[in-house]
Amino acid sequence: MTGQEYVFAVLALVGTISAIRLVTAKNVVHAALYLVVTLSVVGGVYLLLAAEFVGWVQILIYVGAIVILFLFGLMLTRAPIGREALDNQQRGIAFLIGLGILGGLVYLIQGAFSWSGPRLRPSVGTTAQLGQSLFRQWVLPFEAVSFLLLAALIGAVVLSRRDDRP
Amino acid sequence: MLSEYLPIAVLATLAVLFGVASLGVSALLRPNRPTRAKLAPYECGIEPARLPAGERFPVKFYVVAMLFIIFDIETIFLFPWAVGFRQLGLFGLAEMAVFIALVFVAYVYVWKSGGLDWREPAPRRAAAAPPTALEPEAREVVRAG
Amino acid sequence: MLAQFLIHPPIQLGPIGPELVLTGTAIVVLLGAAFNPRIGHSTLLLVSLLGLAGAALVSIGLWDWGGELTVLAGMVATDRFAVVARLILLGIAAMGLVYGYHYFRRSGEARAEFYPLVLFATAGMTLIAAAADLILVFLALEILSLSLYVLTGISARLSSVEGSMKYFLLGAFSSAFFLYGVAMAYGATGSTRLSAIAHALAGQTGSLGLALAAVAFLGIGFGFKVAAVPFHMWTPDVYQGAPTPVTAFMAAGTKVAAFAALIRVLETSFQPLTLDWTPLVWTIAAVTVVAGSLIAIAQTDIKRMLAYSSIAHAGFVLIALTAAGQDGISAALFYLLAYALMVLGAFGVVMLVSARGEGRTSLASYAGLYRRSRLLAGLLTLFLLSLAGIPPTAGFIAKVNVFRAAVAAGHWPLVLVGVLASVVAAFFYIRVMVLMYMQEPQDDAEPDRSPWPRVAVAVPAVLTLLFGVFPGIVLGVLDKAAILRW
Repeated sequence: MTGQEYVFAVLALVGTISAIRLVTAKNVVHAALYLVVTLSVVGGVYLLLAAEFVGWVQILIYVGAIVILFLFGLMLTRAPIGREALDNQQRGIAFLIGLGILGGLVYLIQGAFSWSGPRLRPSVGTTAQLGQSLFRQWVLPFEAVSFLLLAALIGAVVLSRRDDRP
Repeated sequence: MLSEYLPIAVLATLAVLFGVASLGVSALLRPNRPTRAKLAPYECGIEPARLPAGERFPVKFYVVAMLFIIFDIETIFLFPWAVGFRQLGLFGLAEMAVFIALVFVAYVYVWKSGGLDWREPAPRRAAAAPPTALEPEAREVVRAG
Repeated sequence: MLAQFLIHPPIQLGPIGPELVLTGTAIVVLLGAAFNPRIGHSTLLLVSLLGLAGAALVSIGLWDWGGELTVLAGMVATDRFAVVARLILLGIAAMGLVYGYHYFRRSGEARAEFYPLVLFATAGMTLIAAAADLILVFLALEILSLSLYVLTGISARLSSVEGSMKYFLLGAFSSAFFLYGVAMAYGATGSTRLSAIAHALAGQTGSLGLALAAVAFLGIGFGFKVAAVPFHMWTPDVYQGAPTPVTAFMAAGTKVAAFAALIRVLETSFQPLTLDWTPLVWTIAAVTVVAGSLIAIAQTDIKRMLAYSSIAHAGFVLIALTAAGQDGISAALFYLLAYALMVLGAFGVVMLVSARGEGRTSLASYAGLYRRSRLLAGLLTLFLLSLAGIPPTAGFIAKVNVFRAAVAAGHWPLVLVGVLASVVAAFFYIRVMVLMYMQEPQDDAEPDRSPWPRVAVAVPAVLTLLFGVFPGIVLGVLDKAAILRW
C-alpha cells in the first residue's frame, strides 16, 4: 500500500463511522456535529484525489457554513432536539433501500472502473488550473451561479420578512 | 502534490498532541475542587441565561446566516480568479465584475428592504429572560448553540 | 490590445440575449421596488411585461441564427427548438404576471418581489430550454425551482407556506437525484456536454452501466419537475396551496421548461441509448396517464382536480417522447403549447371565481356558475373541453398528434392506454360542466367582475380555439423547430 492508500483507509474508516453515527445519533445537535466530521473527511478524500480546491471549498463552505446554518435552524425553529423527534417507523425499509443503493453503486462503479484506481493528474485540481477552466470554459455557469445566489437571497428575505409584521 | 500537505499534517498532529497532552497532564496534576462558579460555561462572569419557553430566536438571525453563506461562496470564487489573475487578464476581470455586481445587487436589495434592520417592530414579549443560571437543560441549550 | 483580451475565448452573447434581457429587467424591477417602496405595482407590471416583450423579440431574432450550433464553450444551443420553447415560456410568464397583479391587489397581499421572482423563474425556464450542458441544465433548474418555492409561499396563508415547504423538500430531493445523474453521466463519458456525451455513447467508449444509471437518475429528477407518476406526490398540495396565479404560472411554465430540457437531454446526449430508455419512458407514461386520470375523479377541489389533470397531461407528453425523432418532438411541442394555454385559462377562471384570495375552490361552489356569469362558465367549459381533448379545441389536435406519432413509432398499446385514460378523464371534466349548467347555485357569492382580468383569460381561450380549428398556423413552425441541432 502506498502512503496515499493508508491515508484513504483512515479517512474511510473515520468517515464511515461518523456517517453511521450521524444517522443513528439520538440528538440532532450531535448529529450535526457528526456531519462536521463526515464532511471534513469527504474534503480530505477530495484532497487525496488531487482535487485541492474542491477539498478546501468542501471544508470552508460545508463545514464552516452549512452545518452552522443547520444549528441556527435548530435554534430558530425550536425543533425538538431530543430522541423522540428523530425516530420513525421506516427504519427497516430505509436500511434495506440504503443497502440496495450501496450495492448498486458498488456494482456500477466497479463495472465502469474495474478496481483500477482513477488516474490522478495532480496539476488538474489546483486552484490555478481550476480558475483557468472556470473563467474560460465555464463562463456562463459561473455567472448563472451568481444569479442563483441572488434568487436564493431574495427568497430568504421574502419568506422571512413576513415574520416581522405583527 | 500530497507531499506538500505533509508539513500541514505534521503541524495538525502536533497541535492535537499538544492539546491532549496539556489537558491530560493538568488533569493528573491539578487539585480537583469544583464549585458552581467554576462549572459555569463562561468563566468570565456571564451567567448563562435560559431560553425563555415559547420564545424563538428572531428569524433575522437566519437571514444574516444566509447572507453569510452567500458571501462566503462568493469569496470562494475569488480564489481561483485571484490565483490566475494575470493569465485571465481583462476578460477574467470583467467576468468577476459581473459576478460581484450581481451579488452586490443582492446586498443592496437586502439592505434597502430592511433585512439588515435590527430593530424589532413589535416585541412579542417584553420581559427579559429570567436569569435561572445553571439549570441542567439551560446549560444544554446554551452549549448546543 | 483590449480586443485581444476580449476575443479569447470568443464570446457570443446573442444566443443568451433573452436571458440577459430577463435578468436585467428583473434586477431593475427588484431594485426599483427596493429603493422606492411606494412605487405603483402597475409600473412594476409594465416594466416586467416590457422585459418579457424584449426577450421575445430577441428570441425571434435568433430564429435564423446562422452561427455555430452551440455557443459559449458549448453551453447554449442555438437551434429553433430553443426559440420556440422560449416564446411559449415568455407568453406563460406574461399571463402569470397579469394574473398575479390582479390577484394580489384584490387579496391585499401585494408584494413587490412577485414581479422579479417571476422574471427570475422565467429566466431559469428559458435558459433550461437552450442549455446544452448538464451543469447548465442543473443551474437553470435550480434558478427556476428556487424562485417557484418562494412564489408558492409568498402568501401568508398556512396552506401556501405548507405547499412551499413540501415543494422545497421534495424539489431539493429531486435536485439531488438530478445532480447524481449528472455525476454518473460524467463518470460514464468524461463530459457533461450533451454533444460530447452523445459522441462517447455512440462510439461506445464510455461505461454503458453508468450511462444507464445516469439516464435513470436524470429521469427521476425530471420526473419530479414534470410531475410524472410516481414522482407526483407534491403536485396537488403545491398547486392547491400556492396562490392561483402562481399555480397557473408554475403548472404551465415548469412543465414546458422541464419537458424542453428532458427532450433535449434524451434526444441528443442519450440518443444512442434510445432503445434503452424508451421502455422506461413508455412505462412511466402509461402509469402517469392512468393514475392522473383515475385519482382526479376522487377530487372535490378544483385546484386539486386540475393538479391531477396536469399529472395526466405530463403522461401524454411522455407518450409523445416514446416516438423519438422529429414527429415526436413536434407533437410534444404542440401538446405543451396547447396544455399551457388551457391550464393558464382554467386557473385564470378559478382565480376569478374565487373573487378574492383563495375562497370557493371546492367543486360545489361551481354549481350554477352559468347563472352567475355566463362568460366565466363559457370560458371554463372551453378549457375543460380542451383538457379533455374534445374538438374543436387545441387539446384535441394535440392528443391526435401525440397518438399519431406514437402509433407511427409502433407504440399502439400505449396509445390504447392513453385513449382509455382520456375517456376516464373526460368524465371528471364533464362533471364540472354539469355542475355549472344544470345545478342551482348554492350561495349567492359573486365572482370577480373586473373587466381586464376577463380579457386576460379570454386570450388563451381565443388561442385554444384558433389552434384547434387552424392548427396549421403553428404546426409548420413547430415542425421546423422540432430538429435539435447540436
